[in-house]
Amino acid sequence: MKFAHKIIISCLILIMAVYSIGSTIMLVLNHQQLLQTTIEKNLETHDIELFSMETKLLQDRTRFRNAYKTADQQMLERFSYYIDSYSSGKKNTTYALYDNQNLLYSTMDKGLSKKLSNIQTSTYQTMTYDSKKMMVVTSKVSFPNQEFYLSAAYDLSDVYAERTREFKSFLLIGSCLCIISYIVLKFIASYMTEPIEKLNKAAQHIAKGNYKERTLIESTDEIGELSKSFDMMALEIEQTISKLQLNLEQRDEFMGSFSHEIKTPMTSILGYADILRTYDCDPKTRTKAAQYIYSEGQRLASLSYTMMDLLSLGENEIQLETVDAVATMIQLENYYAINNKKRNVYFYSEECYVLSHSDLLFAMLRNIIDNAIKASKEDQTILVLQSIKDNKCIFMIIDEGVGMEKETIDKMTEPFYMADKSRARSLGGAGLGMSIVKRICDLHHTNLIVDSALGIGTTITMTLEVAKDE
Amino acid sequence: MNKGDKMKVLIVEDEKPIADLIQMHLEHHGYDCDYAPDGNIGANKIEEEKYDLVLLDIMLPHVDGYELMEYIEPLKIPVIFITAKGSVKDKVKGLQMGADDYLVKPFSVDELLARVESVLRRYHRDISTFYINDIIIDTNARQVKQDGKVLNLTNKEYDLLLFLVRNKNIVLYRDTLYEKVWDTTDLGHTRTLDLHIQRLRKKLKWKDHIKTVFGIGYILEVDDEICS
Repeated sequence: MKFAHKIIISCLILIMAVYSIGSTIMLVLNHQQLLQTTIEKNLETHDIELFSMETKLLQDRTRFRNAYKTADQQMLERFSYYIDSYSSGKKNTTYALYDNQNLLYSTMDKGLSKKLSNIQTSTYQTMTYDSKKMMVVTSKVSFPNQEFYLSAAYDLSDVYAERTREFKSFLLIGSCLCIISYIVLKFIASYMTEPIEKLNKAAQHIAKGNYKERTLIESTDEIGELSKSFDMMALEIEQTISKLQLNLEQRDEFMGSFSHEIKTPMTSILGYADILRTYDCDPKTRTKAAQYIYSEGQRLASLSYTMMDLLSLGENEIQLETVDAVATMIQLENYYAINNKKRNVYFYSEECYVLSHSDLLFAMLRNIIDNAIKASKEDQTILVLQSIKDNKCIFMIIDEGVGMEKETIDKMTEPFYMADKSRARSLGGAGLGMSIVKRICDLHHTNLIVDSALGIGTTITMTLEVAKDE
Repeated sequence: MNKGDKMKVLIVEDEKPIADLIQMHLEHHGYDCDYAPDGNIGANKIEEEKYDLVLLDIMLPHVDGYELMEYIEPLKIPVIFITAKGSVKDKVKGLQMGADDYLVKPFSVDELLARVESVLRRYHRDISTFYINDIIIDTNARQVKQDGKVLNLTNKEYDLLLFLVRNKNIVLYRDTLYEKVWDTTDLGHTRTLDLHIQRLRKKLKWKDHIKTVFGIGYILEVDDEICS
């Protein structure tokens, strides 16, 4: 069942229950009250009539005695006269007069008067006669030397009729109340459940892929809080999915570039090899073909080595340990002295121990220096400086080579990006060096700062934490 | 189309080894080749010269292949894309942009040649007839005529002859020759090759032209350079 319906039905039941109970109690109390009041009024009336009758009868008896010597017959007439006078105009009250055993006079129904044969005088009685509720009071008439009993039967039907009327009103009002409540509750329920609908729709939209959807419910109640939490969750989801998509795109791009970098030399190698094995070429062609096979093969080899380096760096964190920066600088100096025809790479260092990893530090600096060499002419100088400043160890590699424009600086660390393809390729590069440098920097939680201008040169700065003394 | 005119092909490719490879191969098969290492130079050359075909790489510096394609398309010059971007999406994009064919790296030079000829044939600019010595080879009809008479050659004999003609005046290695004409990597069937060579010699009476080079292979020697 829908939540709105649940609200409506339970509220309606509550309203009707409360109304019914309340009304019933009131109805009953009212009735009791009215009955009690009516009974007391009747009793009072009875007392008054009795007393009045007694007084008058006494007077009459005296008069008749004086006139007739005996008063019995006349007395009976007087009784009847008074009873009739009481009865006139009162539809609800009927009387009966008894002496000890017999009914002497009555304005009651035969059946009713018969019923009253054994009656009490101590208190009134209520009974049902002819489907009417009656109240009967019997009192002894105070009369010298004779016993008479006067019974008055009061019809209480009105009281009960009143109750029935009130009950009918109760039902009518109840029905109207029910209908009105239902209508009002319907509005209230839909107003209350509207935020829930909103949440539901938002959830559905997000599930369909619209991650920007938010519910933005402003109320401060529990649903408002639910909405806030929901929106926060949606934000998290949106961000995570964006990140994942970005990762995926980067992965795809990487794979695309990588496969291109492999396919291109493959094409050359296969093409030239095919020529060589199909026909007997002239020496010039043969030499050219062989040369290309060799150089493209080397390119593939260099690519695969650097790829392995890049992949082995992976996503993992590395344990940083204390590394002697000076020792690394000396290592680099020796490396370039042996491997490089260029003699113009100069190293300056200051005593310093850094938090790093010796192999990675070496590889990173070597890649940056290699780039500097590739960018520079034979006679240009390259400076590699390492010093301490503000308790941090700074490495700077400065060249006066071709420099880079802004676009190149931004893209420098992208895998396979080469600013000048032909130059890079001719020197055996594949565009991965700076990606490796960036990866190593990330592992050190540090950044590269690149300063470069076309035609003037490039300075690359990198800062590492100084290892605390042990 | 004049018999003497050679087809002019423009190669727009920034990888020099591949550009050289294509140029070498096409020139060997009788095409004239020009080379542009990037999109800008390529556009310039197209403006200056009249080309019969453009071989276009997509990943070029500065102006990429797609941009250059937009420039070439209205000129109605046949274009074949050569690129490492081989996904279906890329191929569809290339063809929808108006390229006549799409070649994915790595490709074999034979495939390249076949596609070049196929595209040129569509534009009726192909070398469809070879005039070699005393025979005329009609590649459309796969017919060889000698002295006005149609020669009865089997499929493989025709293929072999065509291959020899395309690689005339060069010594061809036996194994590779067999592999390429019979399109198989099965080894050790050079007897078949030898037999076919013998039959060709007989049918064409070309004993003096189809020569055996001992220990190496065969060569079709022609002194006339008439072909179109």
